[in-house]
Amino acid sequence: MANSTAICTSFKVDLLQAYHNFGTTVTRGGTGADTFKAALYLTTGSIGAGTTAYSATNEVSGANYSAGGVSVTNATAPTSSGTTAYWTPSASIVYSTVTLSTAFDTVLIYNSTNSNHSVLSYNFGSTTVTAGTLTLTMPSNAAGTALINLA
Amino acid sequence: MKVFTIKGPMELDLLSVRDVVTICDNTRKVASEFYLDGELVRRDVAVSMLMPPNILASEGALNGQ
Repeated sequence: MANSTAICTSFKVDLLQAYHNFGTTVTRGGTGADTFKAALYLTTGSIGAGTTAYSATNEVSGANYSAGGVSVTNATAPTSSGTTAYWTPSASIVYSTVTLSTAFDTVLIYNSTNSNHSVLSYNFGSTTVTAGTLTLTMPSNAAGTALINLA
Repeated sequence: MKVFTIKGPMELDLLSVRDVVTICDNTRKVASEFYLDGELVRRDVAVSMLMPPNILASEGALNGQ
């Protein structure tokens, strides 16, 4: 096996576990897993790649929905397969018995432990919920299909 | 069997139920709508995320080559 140029796969997994800090501002206060939350946004919002942190602007509101959204179940640590590091929430994200009458289309997953910094947004198309349950079923936790892939 | 609605718990037999399936490029959505005499009294939505956002971590070249 010859030498090669590559981003080390272990580094990709390490990124998902905060092993490295290339900056000068250390913001981490502990070694445990952070708490991640999932907030919903109206179709009139502009959540996306440029979103740096959770904001209540354009967040949905309605019966049984709390600002900031719900916690994300994180029982499975990041891992890798081949050269892809990946992570997926270990359970569906569920908003129970909510009424969200104004059309919304996006969920923002963010780090509520670390200054609400954003992780990813996912636009699933415009929808509403009436006295019902919104269930966001996660993709299979595998390389290429996981919610976060560092390929 | 009773289900919760905007009018409180109601017998499921009194309601008509319609499932609306929508598939777009990255999502499959199933909306289950419950109607009482034509009025929407409950709507559940199940979203399946089909295509995750990918992040490509690529190495750079030395000397800008």
